[in-house]
Amino acid sequence: MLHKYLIICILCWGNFQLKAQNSVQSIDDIINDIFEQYTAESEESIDYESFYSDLVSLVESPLNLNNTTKEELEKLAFLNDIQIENILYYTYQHGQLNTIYELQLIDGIDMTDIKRMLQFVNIGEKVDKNKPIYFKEIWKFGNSEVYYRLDKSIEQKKGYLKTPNSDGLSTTPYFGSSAYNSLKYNFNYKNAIRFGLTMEKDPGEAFWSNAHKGYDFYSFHFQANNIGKLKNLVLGDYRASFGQGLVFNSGFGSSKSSYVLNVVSRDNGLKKFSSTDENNYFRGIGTTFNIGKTEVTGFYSTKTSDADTANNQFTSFYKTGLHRTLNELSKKNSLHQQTIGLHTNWTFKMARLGFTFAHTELDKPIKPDLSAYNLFYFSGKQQTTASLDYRARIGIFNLFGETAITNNYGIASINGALYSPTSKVSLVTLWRYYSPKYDTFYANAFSENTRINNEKGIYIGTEIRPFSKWKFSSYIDSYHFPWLKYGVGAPTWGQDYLLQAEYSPKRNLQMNWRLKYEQKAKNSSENTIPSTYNYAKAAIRYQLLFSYGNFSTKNLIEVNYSDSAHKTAKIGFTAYQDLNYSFKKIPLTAEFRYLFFDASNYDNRFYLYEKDILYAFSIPMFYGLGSRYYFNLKYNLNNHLSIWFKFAQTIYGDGRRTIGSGNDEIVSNRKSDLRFLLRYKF
Amino acid sequence: MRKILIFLIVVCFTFKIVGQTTEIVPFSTTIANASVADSKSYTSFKNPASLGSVSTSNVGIQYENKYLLKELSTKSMYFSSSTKLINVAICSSYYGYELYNELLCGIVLSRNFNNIFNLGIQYNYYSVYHAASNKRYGSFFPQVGLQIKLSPEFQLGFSTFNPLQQTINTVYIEKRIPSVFSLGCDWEISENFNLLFQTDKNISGKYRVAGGFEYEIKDFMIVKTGAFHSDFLVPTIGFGFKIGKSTFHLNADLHPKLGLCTLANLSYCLTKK
Repeated sequence: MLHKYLIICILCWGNFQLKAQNSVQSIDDIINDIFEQYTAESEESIDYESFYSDLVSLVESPLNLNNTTKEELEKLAFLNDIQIENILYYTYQHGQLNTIYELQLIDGIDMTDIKRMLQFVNIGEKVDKNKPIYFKEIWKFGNSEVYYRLDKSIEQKKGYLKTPNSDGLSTTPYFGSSAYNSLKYNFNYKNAIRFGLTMEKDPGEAFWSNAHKGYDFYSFHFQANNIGKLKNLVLGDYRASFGQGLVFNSGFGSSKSSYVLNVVSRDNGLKKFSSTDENNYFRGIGTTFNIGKTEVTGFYSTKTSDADTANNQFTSFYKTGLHRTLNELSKKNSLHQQTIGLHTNWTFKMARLGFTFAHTELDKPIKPDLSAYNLFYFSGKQQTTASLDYRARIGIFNLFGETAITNNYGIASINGALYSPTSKVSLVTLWRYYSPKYDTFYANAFSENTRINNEKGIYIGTEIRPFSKWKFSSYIDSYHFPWLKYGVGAPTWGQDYLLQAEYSPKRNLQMNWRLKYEQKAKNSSENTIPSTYNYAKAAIRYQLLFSYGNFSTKNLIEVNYSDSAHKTAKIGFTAYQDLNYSFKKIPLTAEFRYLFFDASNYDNRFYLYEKDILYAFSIPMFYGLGSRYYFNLKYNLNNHLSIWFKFAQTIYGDGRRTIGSGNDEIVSNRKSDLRFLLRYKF
Repeated sequence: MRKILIFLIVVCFTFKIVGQTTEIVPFSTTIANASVADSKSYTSFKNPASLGSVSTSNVGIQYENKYLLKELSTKSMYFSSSTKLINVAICSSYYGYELYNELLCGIVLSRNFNNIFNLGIQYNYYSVYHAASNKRYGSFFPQVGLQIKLSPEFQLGFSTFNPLQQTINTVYIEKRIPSVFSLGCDWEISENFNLLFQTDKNISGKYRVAGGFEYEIKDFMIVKTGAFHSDFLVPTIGFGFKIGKSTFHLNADLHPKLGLCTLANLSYCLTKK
């Protein structure tokens, strides 16, 4: 015991010395950084608002490491399961933590992890989590926040220009103004009671016209946690995630990322929905309660959705959330969807077993346009899905998995093992099989495809810390699509490889090298006889992060190479310089980036994360030759009022005269965007 | 006397072998024009952040000749002043001849922050004269630069010249002002030996990679050698001399097809060091 205190004293002393010269990363920076690691490789839009609000709620009510559970620690998306197990094991073996820097003594946790954890955890005495809630206290000690956001594009798109219609009248294709606007109210009482209202209007949507009045999207949520046996109660709009996401996962799904070990879907249950995403949520009521070691969740959702309907049936869901023209408005709320869900899980000594059931009814049948690739897509009005999921620890192995079946006997199964043979090496192996017939509404699990069906594959991820200051991560994913898929007219195979080295020579200096290679098949557009060809893309990235006091910079250089049988090999290049500075005498934070890109071939396009205003996250795609810059400013007017402002401009230098197509076409070689956000806390 | 003698020998030698490429943006005195991370000296229209480290007031002139043709020469000058709050400079550059010429003027603001980074912002006015239209056309554009000291020995540099890709629309043509993105590093291997590396991309041009080293043989003399590659590999050498408050630089590049380019730069320190 004395030995432990001695080490703690040394660690604390060392860290207090260092703290003075280290930069203090803001919460926004930390969350952005974590999200970027997760999504930088992704080409899909992921709900950042939900991710951000989940982590920010932990900042407001940090996890007490001396009184926490595995389920709570899983909310820290940057920790892998082995690290979580190690933290819990350490507190079990050595008793309560005395300082946060004691985490350095835990296997598999380095200084980067600790720096990230600092904002979300604390060290305190054990307290009763099920304290009674008094109504008077809720109003007295609860926090309210109002957000007002306004976005505007500088250049006029074709959809906002007046053109004569068939009656000779001059009209614009889009009914509304080009401004984006949202208004949010959120209330939070110690993460126990939360409620809020969200309203949103997209660019081009009318705020007040004959076609539509008011905001285009409204969302209300209410959530109460830990009230007696009632673990959770949600009303209004909410998200549901269970198991590995084969039946329900309307939250943040697991995917391939530079966190190579984080492939286990977690942070399950019902959660409030406060985002402006117009699709990925349930609307109704849900509850979770505990009976001994059994946890039961039940929920019901009834909501309208957008769809391409005709003759009292529909071909597909319309998920853009945009209602700018008569055609788009005709799709709005054209479908009624009811869902009933049930999940129950049993916790044993070293395992947890779960069962999930879902039944969905639509008021109109879905009939996809007949095509070979969508032969197995779901059609009809009703769907029932059920699954069994498990998580267990056997020796050094953390096992996890889920197997699901639909009422048309489509089967999906995902199984994996996470293990750490030595304290310096961690591995994960994951196998998945999603039959072509398995096509459900709310699945979001680990996969190469966006749609969870028609895929089988094996993924192996490794993380090695061979020397101090160095970390190597890699994954290999080999997958097969047994049936045709959109854009690929034959069963095909593919492989993804990633190798990343991270080096932190000093506490304020980090660099990483990333090599990524992927090989997939595509349809050939040059042959009249349908055929596919293999296409490969390799990318090398170097990133350098430096911080000192209130100043930080980031540099990135990336070169990619694409090769295919039908196109000559092309090389793409991009580089950027970031500069962030927080002023000492005024409450102003300024961020600047200048980026250059050269990707003349579409296959060489780049997806690069960029900083944004609060609750917004951008991963714009760069294709062509040009440059982009942005300024991001945050100013705290007082303790209650803060404003964010962003100006970004992309300038193409490849001779193009227009950007975009259709109603979104801009007659210019530059595209500029303004964003403004005001937050009022009281 | 010995300094003057060495100086004269080198001048004579250099004028016999000299050469370079054409642009209104003057070359820097740093070897292979790899100046983006070099904070030891300031060159007009190069990385404005480099002015942040200058602690004296200076005045300088520069003459560049391309391929031994007097019509393809660039003349530039600058004046810089150092204050506690911020360093300021004004500079101008003239390229061309009577029937066609380009003029570039700029004002620079730069500051060093805690000896960790330099940030510089420059605002330029570029104008071009065509005898055919008998008119001068011009445009304003900014320039931004940053130099970061990652360690006492290693420095990163970034600069962007005309990031907004401003152009000049004349009656006859749309003239593109170069829009250049530069990234580089300066590694001080020992007290008197520096290794420099830089990559540039002009949006409407080719990539350019440059590298070289600068070796301070004596307190008053520096020798430089390196190369840059764009279409061709161009070797480059240079010398620098300090005589009292004056500093003189001579650089020469040998283009394998077009021939020799030379650069001569003289700067004078107006304040006590």
